[in-house]
Amino acid sequence: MRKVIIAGVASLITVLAISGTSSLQALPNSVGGLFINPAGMRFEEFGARKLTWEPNAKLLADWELWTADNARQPNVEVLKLKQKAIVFGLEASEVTVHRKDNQVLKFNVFFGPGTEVEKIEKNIGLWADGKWDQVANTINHGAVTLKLSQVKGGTHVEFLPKQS
Amino acid sequence: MNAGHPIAAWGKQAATRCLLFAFGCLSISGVLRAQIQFQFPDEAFKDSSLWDRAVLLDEFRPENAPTRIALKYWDESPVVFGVKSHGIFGRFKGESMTSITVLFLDSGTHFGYVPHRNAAVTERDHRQRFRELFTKNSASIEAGLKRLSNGGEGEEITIGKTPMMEQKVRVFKTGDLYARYHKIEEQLLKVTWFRSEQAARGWADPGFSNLKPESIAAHFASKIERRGNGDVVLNDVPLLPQGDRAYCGVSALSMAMQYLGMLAETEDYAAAAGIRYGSTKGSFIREVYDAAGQESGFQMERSRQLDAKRLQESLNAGIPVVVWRRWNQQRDFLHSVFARKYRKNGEEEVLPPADVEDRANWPGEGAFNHASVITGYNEKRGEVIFTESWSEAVRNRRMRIEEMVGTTYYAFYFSL
Repeated sequence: MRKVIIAGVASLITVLAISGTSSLQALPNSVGGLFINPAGMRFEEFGARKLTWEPNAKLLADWELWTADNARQPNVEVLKLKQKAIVFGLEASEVTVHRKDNQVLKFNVFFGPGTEVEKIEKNIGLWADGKWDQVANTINHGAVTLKLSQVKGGTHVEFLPKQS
Repeated sequence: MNAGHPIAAWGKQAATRCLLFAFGCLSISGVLRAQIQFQFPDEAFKDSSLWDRAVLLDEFRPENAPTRIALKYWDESPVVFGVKSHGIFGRFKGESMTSITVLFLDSGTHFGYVPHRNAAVTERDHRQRFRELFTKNSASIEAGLKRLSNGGEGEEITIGKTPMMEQKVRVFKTGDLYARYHKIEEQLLKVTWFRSEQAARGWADPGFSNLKPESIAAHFASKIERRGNGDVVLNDVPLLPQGDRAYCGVSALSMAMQYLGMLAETEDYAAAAGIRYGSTKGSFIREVYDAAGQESGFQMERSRQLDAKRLQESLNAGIPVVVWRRWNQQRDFLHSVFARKYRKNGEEEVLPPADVEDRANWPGEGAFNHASVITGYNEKRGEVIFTESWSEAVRNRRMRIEEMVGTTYYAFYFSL
């Protein structure tokens, strides 16, 4: 209780001293609930590293079984990322992984209609080591080939094992 | 446990671990031999000689931390005193393990990151259950400590000199080690074992508090690396991951303070600040920064602006600066991409100029708030070098000084 009173008085003095600018009172707390917090790396880095694609590799962060899609694909386990998914600096609506026998087959990142495909393409181009194949709409980076496709209601980016 | 906690992030195959551990136990004792399979050996809470054995040390990850002070995590979340812990970590100084902490119950770890808008509901819906868990686990821990100390009740002492960092703890003698038990209602149940009684009885690192004042400045000056490209970098600031917790502010503080000679851990600062039920709502992080500065013996100055000259002076003295800044995903992505390309291509990679177009993308009012530790600068390139409390993957990223100045809303300077 003593601490609370002291801290409260200190806060009040600070508020009175610096009132007028909104962010001055803001505590550094709001970068949370993202993939990077539990995983320690950005999603795209995780998806592109070789280790992620090895048999029995651990999926970083938290994933849950996605039964609807699972029912359509026998023998393939489909999991959905539980954390908010920010991929290539943009908020994705959904990230799923397809696995078989405990090995990743592909990651699927879906961006909703509010995210322009040009922006996605530009950010992927900034990030990736490779160059866009404009015909196949693919680009290589690390252990993966990314395939971009526009679908009804948004844009899909698939992370697939690197295709030579 | 929240699976996102950094302690849980070190994955390894159970079979390999069991084999390794079983093999190692053969060379330690018959008691340990029986404790395979994710069971942390109780003997390590009584016998400091085990802390020097490779078979135990090798179980902590990462194997090769780049800093002299490093927290290394035990795989998975072992059961200790009958309680499934959040995790165990060892604090290393070079090759030597100086303490072992068992994090039994931490509000932030238990609830994960809770945004302000959900704080009240989280507390309302989970308070009773969390209290029951707290009571149950504390009883088990106290019984375990009593057993380890041959029936002792421990000694209640108060550590800390400032009201915010003052904590009542119990110190137990267990074998040739000293266990410090932290019990903070609705927030924290934690036991840290130390080799020395002096370390157990305060926040200060005895290795620092025994230094003469004139040696302290020389110590920090020796931590500066000046590279041929103009980089001035402090490579020895430990990385203390916040995990999926609203702990960036207290983790950044803990990183700076561990470097400056304070043994308090991220969870201690979180408890002192009153971060409850996973949310920082109503907490006193800023006041805890002030208190930590006083506890450490450094003068801590908080400024509403980051001053580039002042920043350089601090780093030239070997002392990092903590900033609270506005943050957004787009800029974080850019800095992340740049860090990787810079590592690959070197000096030819340059950040976009801080012109009108670039400034339009900087996070402004209403953006996320985040804490980072500034660990270096390059005057020639006009860059600051900063480290996040996420993982080693985000150590020493780069940003134009103009952007760091333009997005910082608090800078915390420490001086001798």
